[in-house]
Amino acid sequence: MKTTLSHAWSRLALSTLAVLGSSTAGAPAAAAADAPPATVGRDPSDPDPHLAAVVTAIGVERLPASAYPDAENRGLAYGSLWLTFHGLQWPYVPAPDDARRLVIGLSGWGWVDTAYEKFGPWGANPMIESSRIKYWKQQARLLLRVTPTYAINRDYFIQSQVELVGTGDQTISRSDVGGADTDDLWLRIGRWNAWDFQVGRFEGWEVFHLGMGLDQNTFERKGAVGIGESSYNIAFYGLTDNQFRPQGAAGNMAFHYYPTRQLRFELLGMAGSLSGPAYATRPVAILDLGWIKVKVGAEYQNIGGQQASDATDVTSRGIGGAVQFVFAPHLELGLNAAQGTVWSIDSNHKLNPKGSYTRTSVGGFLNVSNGDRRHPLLFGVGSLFTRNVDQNDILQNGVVDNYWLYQGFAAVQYVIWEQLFVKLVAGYSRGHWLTAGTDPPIVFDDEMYSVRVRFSSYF
Amino acid sequence: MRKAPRTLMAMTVVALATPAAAAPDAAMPPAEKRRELALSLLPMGLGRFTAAPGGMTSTADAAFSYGVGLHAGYVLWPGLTVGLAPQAFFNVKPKEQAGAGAQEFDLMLRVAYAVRVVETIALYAELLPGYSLIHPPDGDVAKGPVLGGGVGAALDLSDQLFAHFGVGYQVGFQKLPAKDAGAETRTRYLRVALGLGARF
Repeated sequence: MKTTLSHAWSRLALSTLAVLGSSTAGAPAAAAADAPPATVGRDPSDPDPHLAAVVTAIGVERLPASAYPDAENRGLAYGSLWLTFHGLQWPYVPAPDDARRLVIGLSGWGWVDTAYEKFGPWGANPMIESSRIKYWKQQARLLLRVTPTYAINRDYFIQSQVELVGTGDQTISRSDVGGADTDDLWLRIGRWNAWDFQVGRFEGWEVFHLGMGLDQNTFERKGAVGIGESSYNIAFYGLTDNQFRPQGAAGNMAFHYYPTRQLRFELLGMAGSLSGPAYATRPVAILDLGWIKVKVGAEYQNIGGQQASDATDVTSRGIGGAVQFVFAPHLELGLNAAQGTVWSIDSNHKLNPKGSYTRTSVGGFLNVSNGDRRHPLLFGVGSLFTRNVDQNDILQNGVVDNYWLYQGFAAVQYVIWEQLFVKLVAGYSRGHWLTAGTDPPIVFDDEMYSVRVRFSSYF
Repeated sequence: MRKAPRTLMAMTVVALATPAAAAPDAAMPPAEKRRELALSLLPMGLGRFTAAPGGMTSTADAAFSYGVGLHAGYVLWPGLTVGLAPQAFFNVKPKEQAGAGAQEFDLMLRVAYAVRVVETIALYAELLPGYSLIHPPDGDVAKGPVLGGGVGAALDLSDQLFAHFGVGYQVGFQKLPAKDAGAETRTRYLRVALGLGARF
């Protein structure tokens, strides 16, 4: 999509740079000091050449195709890898020359999902009837991204971004009543293709890539964890404790370093209050040679107790990696693996055995495209297997809670007029639980079939 | 005087004839490929398993099954392909039954009609009548007819290679041999086919 959009078409009518004049805040005092003395009797209609040189321009534009860097080939056009940036600085809006300028970029995306799922549990789950359900759901999310970029010159920049969110259900959250209002909300300073420092609300770099299914907030992403299994929760782990935007009064800061075009580093830190005072770090490295991409990372998070007498101490650690191959224009695939541990001390300074566990996820995806720019059709499949094993061997020595979850999907996607994505995703998931809270342990299973159609557009 | 125009004329004819001779080749479609061969992964879900243990017939949800299929076809006339589609899949059992499942082997005739909607995309419908064997880990083999059908899309990766994605349903009418009183042991599944193929 990005490369087919002509720059001219992509600009809004008001994209023509509106020159506001040098009175813009910050019009450099230093420059004024170098200004020649005012000439008495000067014709006011005669433009001051020096003034013209220091003029700050402001423009509003729909982000052009070049704002979405693709130097190393992000992935098959319109495919799932193509919709991620592999650590690249984006929106990428360097100044065309060494003049200062402010450009406000507009972009965004939206989707509407209509989905159906059916659970089929069996086994000795005492809550089994709660899981024997069918469910229809439609949800939506529309996001307008506003990105003011102040260019110091063609290299250095100060950029900020807010993503204004309209949301339909997604099982609300962000402290409910209306749900999410913003996604991204950040500031950064840096040099294009060299480094930047970013602070605010944003996502860490993706390591696990799940393919054309398992999108956020979907049935297949949650898997076969019904209401009856909600107290034995299990979800995939993909170096994801600190990847997504933190909820509550917490935020991120990150330093990004680009020693070469293909090698990228992110050192992300998080601080704030989650269920208690929290801090975290998540370093990630990406080697992107286009046809092969290697991503590795680690993370550490600690959440303590709010009260001075509260000894709560929950420490999460994890490590993971992914390798992805892109054989443009027809095939891309990838493999993921990650493992994380949680060690949980309760408020009375005792080990919480159910809250202390090891999570392991492995998976992969494969996308195939006809490579047709006008009529792009893609098929995608993916699988993910996760196992959680905790420390809960109170009743029987060596027998602990042991859960696993399989999630698989098949997807087909067509893009209408190179703009409207229509994606059909069918999912299957099975979960298996061995719970050691009773003697003998209770063993049960659940499975879930789902299907959904997503309409989405990126602009 | 007369030779020169003739020579010029001959050269002109040659000059004109050369591209003219090449043009039909470039415009001609590649030789029609009538044979196709494809390999598919077959996730089989939302299944039902009917059996008659102790003479009482009962039907239960089948476990999620998975297998592979092959189809070899010949294009009888544009759009219509006829061929064979053997398939094998595993974990054939009621989902609540512990232990290993049976294997099902189906030998099917495949009749498909495809419509090319754009140059690189074809939509198809297929009918798959055939004969099936359900081979349990122990005990007798159930045999009988099977009927499948579905729709799908094929996308071209090159002149020869294509990928396909189809969804359909198949119903079996298998029975145990007479010594087991011909009891039903049959399956039905939602059938998904994902694969790669070649035309030649």
